[in-house]
Amino acid sequence: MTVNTEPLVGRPAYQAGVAISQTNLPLFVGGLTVAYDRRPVLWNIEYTAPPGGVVGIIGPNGAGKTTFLRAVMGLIPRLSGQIRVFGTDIAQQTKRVAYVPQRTSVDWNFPASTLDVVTMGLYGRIGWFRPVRRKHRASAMEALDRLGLADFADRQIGQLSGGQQQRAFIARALAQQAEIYLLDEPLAGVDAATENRIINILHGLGEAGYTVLAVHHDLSTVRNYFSDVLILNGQVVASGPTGKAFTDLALTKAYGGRLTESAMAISNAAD
Amino acid sequence: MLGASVLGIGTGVIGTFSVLRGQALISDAVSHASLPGIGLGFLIALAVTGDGRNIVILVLGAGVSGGIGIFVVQWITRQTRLTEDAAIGTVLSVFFGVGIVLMSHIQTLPSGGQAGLDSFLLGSTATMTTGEATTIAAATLTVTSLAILSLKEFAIVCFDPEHAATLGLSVQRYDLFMTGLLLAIVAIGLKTVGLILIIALVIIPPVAARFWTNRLDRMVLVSGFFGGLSCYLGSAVSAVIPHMPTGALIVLISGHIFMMSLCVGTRRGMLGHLRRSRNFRSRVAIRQGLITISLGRELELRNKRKLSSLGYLEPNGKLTRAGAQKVQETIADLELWNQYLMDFPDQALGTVEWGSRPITDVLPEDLVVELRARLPLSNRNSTP
Repeated sequence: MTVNTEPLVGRPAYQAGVAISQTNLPLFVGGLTVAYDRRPVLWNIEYTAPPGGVVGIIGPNGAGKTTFLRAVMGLIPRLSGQIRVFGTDIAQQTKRVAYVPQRTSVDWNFPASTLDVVTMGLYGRIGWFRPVRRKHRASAMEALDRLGLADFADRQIGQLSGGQQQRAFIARALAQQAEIYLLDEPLAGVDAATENRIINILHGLGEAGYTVLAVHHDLSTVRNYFSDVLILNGQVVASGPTGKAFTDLALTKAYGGRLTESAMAISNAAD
Repeated sequence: MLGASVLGIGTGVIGTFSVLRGQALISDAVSHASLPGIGLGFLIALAVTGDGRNIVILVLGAGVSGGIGIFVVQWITRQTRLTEDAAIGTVLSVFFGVGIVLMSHIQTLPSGGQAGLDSFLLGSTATMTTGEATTIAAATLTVTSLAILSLKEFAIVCFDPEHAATLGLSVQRYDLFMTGLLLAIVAIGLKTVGLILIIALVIIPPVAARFWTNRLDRMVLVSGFFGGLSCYLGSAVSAVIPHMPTGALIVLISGHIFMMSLCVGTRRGMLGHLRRSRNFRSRVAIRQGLITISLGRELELRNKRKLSSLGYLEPNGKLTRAGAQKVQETIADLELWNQYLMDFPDQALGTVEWGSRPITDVLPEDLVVELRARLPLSNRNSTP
């Protein structure tokens, strides 16, 4: 946490705000605090995401990784904090930010086909009382195809395997054609082949200049998967390019005594 | 009867969304909470026009007091740690109690016309005038069309409300609209079906429809059809048999439709499911038996019985000619399945009954030809 030590007296109070709104960075999070029942989960989070990159959000259980994504998306109330997307408030930029929740967050028995669910990614731009047109379905189909799910378009979503459901959710986000992607544990419970496929898609987005943030648990793959990291433990422990920010010191700060020696060995071995 | 049928279609359509949103019981709170509104509406109409049986005022009263009921349920759920079902139970019984007190008071009034009020409890189409039926039909059609036009919005809010919120859609507005439509259709239907049983028309048709389809748009159609059918038949029977409450007959018929759907529904019906899983088990037994024989191992008892009954085994346990041929066919078929698993693991593992049926029955012919071409040479000869 950096604290400005310059004298503040005599400076216009809005100056900091002006500086922020002038930036055109994809995602800026300033002074974010979130609490459940007076217990802060995130405290004074300051974070600026890089343009074009895949950021791994890591930290121990209860560090506020999911809460961070949900607070950014406005799904839970923020006690304080401003979220700016390309310089403007996120509420006006919903089309440019796509969110992929954890797979377990919905009822997969719902009467809908895979294509139906992916098409929902486009509902934000269709409008109330307006029908879904063929071009909408076509672009949803394209997104399905990118995730290798074209053959499953007509299948009821409950009949997909866990990895396929995860991919369907990612396809739904791609269909939204956003510029910032926030994913909550996209690799949880998927097999090695699916993991590869998802990571390739995310890297493709990063290389195309989009910003991707993904909550991740496996420390041994962080260096291979992510260009940047955001290490959380209630506060920002470290953030920046993986080479600089993903250090033993940062991990010890984040995980404390909970990080076993074997896990440390893995993070060292990846050096 | 026409008015009633249209009403059934409307409750079927709107009920689909309520059930999928997990708010089926809200309609019960609405209907019970509407009773005080009916009583007050009667008293107001009596004071203003001299006759309490003004259908418009009664329905409006029902709608307003049902709406207050919903609001209180949601307020309790938000402000306290009580779950929604507890809140519904509380609100429902308190409002109903107030309504019953009002009704009893109305019964003691000297003025006439109280008799019509009974139909709000148990429902009646017999006393319905043509004008009333037309009004009900027109109002229902309006409400139903609004629901169908909002299919897309209701779908996303029911499936994943948080995702809807991240798209910038106002979940709260759609929820409010959905609840409003539910409130309207319940208020409209009270006089026909009665407030105690209208919940059945909101819940049973969609639940029955779920056994017939895996798609939301079709579920809405089927549910509307079931609702309309229940109401049509129910009011027809009540017109023939005197002194039978319409609401109860309608619910009885929709109950039958539900039982039938549960048993023979094409998607999740129990009989179909039982039959299919029995057939599947028997196919697995045959295949596993044939594989065991090809490996030269001892047969499991149940597989042995199955093969004997099909004439593949002689009483002494030796393979018959037909049995021997079946072993070869099965092994060749399994090689194709293995190839499919290797080349398209995603599709193969997602295929129902993979490996247990002849591959040509399951996959398109060109794909099977391609798989056959991909088989290692040593295996290709054994393919019939």
